[in-house]
Amino acid sequence: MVSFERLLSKVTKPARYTGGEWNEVRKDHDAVEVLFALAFPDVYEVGMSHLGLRLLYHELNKRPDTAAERVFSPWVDMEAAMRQAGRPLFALESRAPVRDFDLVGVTLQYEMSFTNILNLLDLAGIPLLAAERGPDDPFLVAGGPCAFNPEPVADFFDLVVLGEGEEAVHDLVQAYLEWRGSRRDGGRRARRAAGKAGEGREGFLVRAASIPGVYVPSFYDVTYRSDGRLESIRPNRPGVPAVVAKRVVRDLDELDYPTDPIVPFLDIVHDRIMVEVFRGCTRGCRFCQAGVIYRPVRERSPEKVKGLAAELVRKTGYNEISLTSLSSGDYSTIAQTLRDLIEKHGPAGVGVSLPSLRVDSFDVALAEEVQKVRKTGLTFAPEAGTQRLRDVINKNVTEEDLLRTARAAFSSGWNAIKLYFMIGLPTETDEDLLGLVDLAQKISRVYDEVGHHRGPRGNRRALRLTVSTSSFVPKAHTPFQWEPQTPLDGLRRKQDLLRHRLPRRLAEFNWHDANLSFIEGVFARGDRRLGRALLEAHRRGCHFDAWSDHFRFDEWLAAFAAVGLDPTFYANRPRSYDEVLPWDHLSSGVAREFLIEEHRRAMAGESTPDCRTAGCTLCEVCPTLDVDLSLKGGAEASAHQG
Amino acid sequence: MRIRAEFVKGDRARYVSHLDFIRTWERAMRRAGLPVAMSQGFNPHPKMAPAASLPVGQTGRSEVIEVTLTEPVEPDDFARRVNAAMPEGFRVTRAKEVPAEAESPASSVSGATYVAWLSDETGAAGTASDGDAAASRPVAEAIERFMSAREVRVTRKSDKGEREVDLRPLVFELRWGDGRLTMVLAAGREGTARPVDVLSALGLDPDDWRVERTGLFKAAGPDPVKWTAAWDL
Ligand code: SF4
Repeated sequence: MVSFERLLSKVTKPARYTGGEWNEVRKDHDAVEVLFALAFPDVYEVGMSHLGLRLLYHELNKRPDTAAERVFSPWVDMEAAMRQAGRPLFALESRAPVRDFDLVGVTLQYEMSFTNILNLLDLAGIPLLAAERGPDDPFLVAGGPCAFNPEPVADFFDLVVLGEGEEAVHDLVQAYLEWRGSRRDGGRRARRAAGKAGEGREGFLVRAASIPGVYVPSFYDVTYRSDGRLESIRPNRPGVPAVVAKRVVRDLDELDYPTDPIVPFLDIVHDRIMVEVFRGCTRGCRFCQAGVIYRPVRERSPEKVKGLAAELVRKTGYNEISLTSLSSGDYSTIAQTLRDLIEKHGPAGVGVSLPSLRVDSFDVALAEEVQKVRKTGLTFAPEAGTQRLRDVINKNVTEEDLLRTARAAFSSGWNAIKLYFMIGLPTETDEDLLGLVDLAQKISRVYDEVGHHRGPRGNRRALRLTVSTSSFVPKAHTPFQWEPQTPLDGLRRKQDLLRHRLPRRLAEFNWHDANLSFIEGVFARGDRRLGRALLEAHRRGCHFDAWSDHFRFDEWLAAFAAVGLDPTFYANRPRSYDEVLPWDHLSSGVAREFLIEEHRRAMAGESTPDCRTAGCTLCEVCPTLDVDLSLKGGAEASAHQG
Repeated sequence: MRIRAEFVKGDRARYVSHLDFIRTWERAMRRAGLPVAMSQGFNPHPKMAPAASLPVGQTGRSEVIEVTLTEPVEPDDFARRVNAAMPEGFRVTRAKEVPAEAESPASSVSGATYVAWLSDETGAAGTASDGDAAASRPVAEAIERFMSAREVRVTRKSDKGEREVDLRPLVFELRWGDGRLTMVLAAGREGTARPVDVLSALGLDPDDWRVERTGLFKAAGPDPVKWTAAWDL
């Protein structure tokens, strides 16, 4: 066989494949019971920036009986070299083939990574369809945000974990050990003897299905109506829950947080310390899936955050601490925590940053503090151009708020601002799009009014305004899950309109590929039948679809046609409240009635406040999952809320 | 305080690029609690100066780096602490304090020695690693041809495009024995001969060969015996 070295001599960035980084955990396979591969279906730099993967790596490797190792998608050059050499997909730590692992966890981070998952399985030499796997094959486990509608990939996974995985993975490993028995009684290959009690592969799935949050797709039958819509999704055996509810961690302070994360050699996407300050977000933007599936808000206490940050600085050597969450400006003690961190670490040259400085939830004085140490751009996400449409999507930000913040930012020396918008939102008209242009113009006028913009060398600096638009994709579990996605020609027309009406000297205009948003829209609310389209797209060579150079729209359309599925049926069709949705058997804990009510309010242009400040708005996640909204701010938090 | 360290970049670390290696050092210094001085100016950066960059894939047996610290540290202590904070594959072998006015290896290094051998498992170019005569003869002959040539033109690819250079004056010595090719090459501002180019010029496939840099020098004339090691500058 061609040596590993020779493979690496042919490819760009070989350090993607070598492991050996600081804090990597390498264990002797003969000294552990369970081999757990954690795969992220994108390149190293993307996968290593994903906090969830690191949290699970830590949880699993903490177990003396388990070795967890990382797997990423080889970049196209490495893939070609591996295929040519007949070298199967390997895990970074041991370089052992992935198919020798007991369990392979795969992060479903975005729909457009689905073909990469099939490619990973193919490269690993693992049968793509769960039904075709035998006693020699690992169990494929899915997790991550797209696990809340895993139906398009349901046929490829043995099991799916819904919600937060830190506790669930332990249950899973435990169930696996109970099913298989110790490898000392017959070696790791014992699993090939179909479990110690001879239950077969299915025996493990039965055990797993009784773990809260675990969904076994093959234990559910889906039936369809003659018009193509779903008729029902029902368990096909006794003892399997009709609805699987997500896992949720009650108290973040009780959770063990990794303070010895791997420090990559390569410059990864998020190359810094990540301290997660809270989970969940209850701002209630109606297009946002994360805002539903990660509820309720649970904060980590500021003491804990600061303690972790200090330890991480010592153990990683990074010079930047990032406070991460869905919207870190909303952390109840954000101001004090930032000041404390800057005061403590600033003198040693360690900066503090927030993943995106969303000024709509943030005051400029605070941004200044962060700016002192590290130059980051200011980002506004009004999402829609008019107040009417912002009320529809429940983006509770007014034009005055934005202009006031912009003015403050310009006065303190900023000259670069990014504005994020969505196009194709429900009820959107051309007037809303032009409102976006209007908003950009007003911001530019504010800049001129503030005047006196001097760079570090006294030169006059122009305003750098960027307008970025993405296309709205209706997502499962959101109030807009019943809404049609704007058809492709409509999206293109809207983009053209903006291109023509947004003066080029005013702002740089960026937009997302509408074709990509369309395919994403198909899978975001897709059902099991789409697995065939995925297989076909994979056969046609689709992979790295999220990378614009590699996205092949024609092949996708051909794939749908080849399997006889109409993509517009999934993307562009309105659903009625009584339609059976492909994810109805999977629960985020948020009540369906709440989503319907939110949808109705959207159509009526009524906003809904954040339950952190306005009291419970009855989404029901807390009572359903027996968990509480938990702010750890103490005095400052209540002042903040008052 | 200016510290000069000699270190090994070993097998486990040989795919770490030069830029990534600098970041790795910087972070290791912070983990080790060694305060690196920062440069002045608009974009301050830590004062660390590797004597020469090492191409991806090559190991280095006797690499040199200089670091300026804001506090005095015992050189032995420095080496111990860096080693405890470095990922596998990097190891400081010795360290010493150098006076502020000492010549800087980063600006003075102009020559380097290398050794190359057929990597295992390739099977592509025969099994010459034991130096058997059949495989050795062509290499020895290629060396002779190379050394007696007046010029050896090679095309060098870079980001800026392709460029022709004469490799011959940049190669001081080539020796073949026991399956190992020893090279003494120019490496610095005045010109650099890359081992891969030399291997290609000898008609060998660089992908089959492992290359290790064995020393860095301030070259003075074509005779390596008269050169000064970077460590001793
Ligand atoms: S149940 Fe109430 S308090 Fe809990 S997340 Fe939902 S709205 Fe907020």
